[in-house]
Amino acid sequence: MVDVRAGDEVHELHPLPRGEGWSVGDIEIVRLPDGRWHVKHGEATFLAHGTRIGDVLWMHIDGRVHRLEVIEAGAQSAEEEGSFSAPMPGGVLEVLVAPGDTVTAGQALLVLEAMKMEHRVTAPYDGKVVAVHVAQGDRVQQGESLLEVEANEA
Amino acid sequence: MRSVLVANRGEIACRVLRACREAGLRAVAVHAEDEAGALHTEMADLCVPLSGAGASAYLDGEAIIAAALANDVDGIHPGFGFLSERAGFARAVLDAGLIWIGPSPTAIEKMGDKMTARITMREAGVPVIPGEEIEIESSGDEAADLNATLEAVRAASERVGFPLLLKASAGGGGKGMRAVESAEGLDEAVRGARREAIAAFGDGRVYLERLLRGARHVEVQVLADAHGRTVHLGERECSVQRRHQKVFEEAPCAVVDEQQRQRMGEAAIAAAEAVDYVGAGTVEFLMEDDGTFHFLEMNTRIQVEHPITELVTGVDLVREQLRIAAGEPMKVPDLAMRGHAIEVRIYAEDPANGFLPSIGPLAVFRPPTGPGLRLDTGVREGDDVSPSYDPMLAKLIVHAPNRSEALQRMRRALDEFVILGTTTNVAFLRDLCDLEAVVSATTSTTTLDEAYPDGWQPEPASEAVLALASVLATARRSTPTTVGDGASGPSSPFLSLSRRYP
Repeated sequence: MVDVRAGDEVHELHPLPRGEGWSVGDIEIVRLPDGRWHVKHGEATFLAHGTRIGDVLWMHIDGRVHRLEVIEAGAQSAEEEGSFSAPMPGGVLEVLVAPGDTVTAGQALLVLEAMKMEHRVTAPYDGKVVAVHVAQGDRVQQGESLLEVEANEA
Repeated sequence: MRSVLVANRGEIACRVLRACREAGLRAVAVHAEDEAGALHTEMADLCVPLSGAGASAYLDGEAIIAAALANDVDGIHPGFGFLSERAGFARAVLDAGLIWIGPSPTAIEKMGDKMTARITMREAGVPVIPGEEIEIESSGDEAADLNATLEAVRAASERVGFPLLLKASAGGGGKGMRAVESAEGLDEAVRGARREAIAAFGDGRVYLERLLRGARHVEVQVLADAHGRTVHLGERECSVQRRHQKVFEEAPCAVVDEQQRQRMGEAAIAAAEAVDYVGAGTVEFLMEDDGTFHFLEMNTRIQVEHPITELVTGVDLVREQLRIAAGEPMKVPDLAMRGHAIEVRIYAEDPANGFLPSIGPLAVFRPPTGPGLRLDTGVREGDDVSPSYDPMLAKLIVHAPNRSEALQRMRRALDEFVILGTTTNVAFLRDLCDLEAVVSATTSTTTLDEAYPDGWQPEPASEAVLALASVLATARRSTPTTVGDGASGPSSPFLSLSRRYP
């Protein structure tokens, strides 16, 4: 199991060894002798370039470069639905909500600072803040729970 | 002239050093301490290290002239940027008994000072943007000068009309420039522009121009030799700009016909002749929808986008620069433009993050190949992109029989271009090729701002991308036998943890 971040989304993926390569769901991936990757997804096949530098995964596939990040396994394992954990070690710049607040999808909840960059944690859905575990100025570790938001009944 | 020193780095140094070798000249490169072994040093017969690291090394004119004198060099080619438009350096090169591969210091000065250039052009009958120079005799007291300027600008603004552009006479690259919508913002703009211009150039003189919205940036390449011949080599359109930085250039301009080319070419030749220009230069115009064009400025050097003119005219501009500097007549046939050429500039920058410069290793650098392509690069695989230099890594240029085929060729080439390890603007450039204004050739200098008012975002990662990412992430950690955890994992291999960390 591995977690990767693509833009503002984190995905949990399960690559499995299969034959000469790997399979991820219905996608089959084989490493070619020249270092490139053969990626087969249904009828579509791609010749891809890929390399890992630190925690950054660089890929060129189907004419596009993608830059994703590995989130080392374990950091997210205790994740529960509705709980927000720190995507990376850093400092809490600002807490914008308090327990009991109602929030709407896209609303900023908290501002983190890491690698000299600001990261906004926003609500993915409409709901209610049930707990805030950090305060302004706190240092947080990757995977540390920041706050919890309960989704409105649909 | 038997030996030429190229006082530059990166792709333009490579370009000029190659031209020297093709011309049978001994090619001498210089490099900063942190650029020993850089690609351009490979193209030279001799490399001379400069002291210091970063851009300042290439700006040390004295050291460069000393290097030339100590190594049996006859001429200095400045490339673009760095010392290329410094009249003082050109003069020092000539005073040292060396050949300056460029126009005379006087021509550089006359075109470098934008107010002088405007006045010179008007006298030569070249149309300039309606506007007014603010002539204030400096009293040595900034407060008094500022007040006098404010008063003069207020009066002039009534004649020029709003919206207008306030520009520093010594300016360039957007420095000391302000767009002013109405009289209310005028004083503040004057103060700001003067402050910026004094800080950047030590010269606070300003002038006014009417702000021409939606106009195209069209420039004309000129060549002049010491035997009295001045020619133009047609136009380039460079309207697609981001904060006055060109990113996508093409030749010819899709809306310039033979007659218009003739008119603009004649104006460009008149501009060059007005300053007794010798060498390669570019006269930039703003062109309105009805074809009315106005002189913007003249660049007294080879330009970044010169290859598109080379491809459509068949003239090797750098080779001609060398010939002209050696005192020979240029070898340029009558103008015949063939096909269409497009250039894009590959920058190490993050278009999804305000175009901030990026750094990193060029772990994979595989440029496209195939028919109709030219790559002018200053880097190769394995290099590190450093924050010490301009983020332009390379230029990709395509040539095809017509515009739509050139655009299609550029799409194909950008799709093939693989750069991993450093974030670049390649995907952004690829998107530009599909932009409605680009496809329909209706670009203006405001096209990019209008197309991406909220910034540019890359395509989201597909399932295939995520799958490959997961393999890359685990392949290094272990052999395939211990990868994965199928038994305890959820049924879907693509469990999305949703939008949690914007």
